[in-house]
Amino acid sequence: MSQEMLYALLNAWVETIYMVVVSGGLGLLFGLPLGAILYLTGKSGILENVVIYRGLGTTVNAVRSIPFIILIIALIPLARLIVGTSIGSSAAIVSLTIGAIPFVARMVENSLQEVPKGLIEAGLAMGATPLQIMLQIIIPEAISGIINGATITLITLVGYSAMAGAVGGGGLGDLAMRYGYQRFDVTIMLVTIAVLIIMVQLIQWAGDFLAARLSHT
Amino acid sequence: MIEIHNIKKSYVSRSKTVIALDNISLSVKEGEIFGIIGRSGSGKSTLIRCINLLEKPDQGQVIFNHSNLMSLSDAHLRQARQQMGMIFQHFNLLANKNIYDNIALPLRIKKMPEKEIEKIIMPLIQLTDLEQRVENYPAQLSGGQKQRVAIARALATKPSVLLCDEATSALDPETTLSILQLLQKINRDMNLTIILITHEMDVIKQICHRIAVMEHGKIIKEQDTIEFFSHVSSEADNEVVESYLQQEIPELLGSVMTQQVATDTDPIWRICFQGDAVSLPLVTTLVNNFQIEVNILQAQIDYIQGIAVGIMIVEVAGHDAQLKEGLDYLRQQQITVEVLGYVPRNAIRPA
Repeated sequence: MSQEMLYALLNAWVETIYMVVVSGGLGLLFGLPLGAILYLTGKSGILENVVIYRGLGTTVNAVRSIPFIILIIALIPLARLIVGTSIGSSAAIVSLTIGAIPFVARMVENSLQEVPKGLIEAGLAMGATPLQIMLQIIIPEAISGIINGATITLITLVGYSAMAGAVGGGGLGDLAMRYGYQRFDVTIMLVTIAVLIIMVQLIQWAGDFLAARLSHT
Repeated sequence: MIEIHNIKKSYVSRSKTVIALDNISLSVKEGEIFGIIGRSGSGKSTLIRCINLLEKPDQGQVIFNHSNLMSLSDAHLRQARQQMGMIFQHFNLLANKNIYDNIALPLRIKKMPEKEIEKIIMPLIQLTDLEQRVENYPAQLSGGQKQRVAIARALATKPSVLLCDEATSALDPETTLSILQLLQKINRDMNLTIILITHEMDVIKQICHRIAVMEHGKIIKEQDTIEFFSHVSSEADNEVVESYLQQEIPELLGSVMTQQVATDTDPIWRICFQGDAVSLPLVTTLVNNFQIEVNILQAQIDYIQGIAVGIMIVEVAGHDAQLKEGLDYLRQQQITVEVLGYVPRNAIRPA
């Protein structure tokens, strides 16, 4: 492989990391509270509210039911509005983030629901506010589930970012498409795949390690 | 200290209304251990949850330290709850926090500074005998230790009442005993009022000063524990209460027992005695002094919180005058005798 190709590979790798980390971070930033609200307002939640739950739930389902490749195209105007361009990694981050938020929200909602209801009862009996119950009891108890969810989200984003690459998002997906697929460069294709596999393995390993570290069950 | 006035609670499930609490009134005095016993579905769990309003009654009043909890704002209700500790059948400890942090939780919720928290918690850890376990996580503890952590946690806010929801039901008999002894010690040393619900009569026998029996959302009997077990009661007990006392008349006799006196029938007596009367040679006296034949059908002596309570069910045979004298003698000894009925002579003896 030429020095040039190596440089292109490195560049694409950095772009992928950039996309996954930023959209993953933003996805968690918005998805965590959204998941928490779904959990709290859901059936027999501490702040049960049918209107909010149905409204948010339907929106989340709607976004999740759109195939990601369609979502990217549909969100081009939004990307242009936010980052001023519809191509490149930064533009891809907009649709990756929008795609990740509902994904994270459902993951978080499910993890929180795993916490035994008795702990909420114990919290209420101690005179805790709903916010204290959430922050001091439910989230700490659900932490390993949330981390597992975040791991799956990041891995999914690695895959999605490749798709974003197909429509001008840059990154490893883009590289594999242009060199590997369109120019039949098998080496580049294989190297890209190897890098992706290693990335996913590392994310999974780090996630598992962290989840095990924080869980005491 | 805690007064419940006419509370009602019902649940609607699939167009069917289930009445969980049917007009219950109750008053618990400061410093007492009050036990509520009932079968599953009797409403006892709902009742104890109504005391700290984890379940809100549909109507009625819950008075705690002179304030009606039902009319408090959310913020004031939370403050009131901090004066009530609660422990649960399944402990409800946080699996991801160590023992120290579990016990500290209610104080952190009160936003107490860490230094003060430590001052409060260390004696509680000693009291509950968990010194070696501070750094451990709940998964590393036995059931009894977990419940001790829960007790320490419940006591952290220095509550004036402790609510125990089937606190020993998930524990083996030996561990149950040690937890009950701990509760009793806390009750004595800290003058802490304890309200517990259980389905095990042994729990009531061990530590409760007073008992309420619940069935179908109602309290069907409320009495001092010793009186309850020694049958000092004016009203007749119903089946549920009888079943808890475990003094059914043997089936063979029950089927032929009548309430009518006839010729050739013998009375069945239930003789209840407590305290010093346990040491009297009752049967011998009846036989020797009154020439009454005594056939013991059932007899047991229980020690309820150090006081002996004995119950005997006997068939007696003799002349009417002798029987009456015998009865008078027993009653003079402060022994309760109840004539349960009459059975045909020789009903249980081979002819």
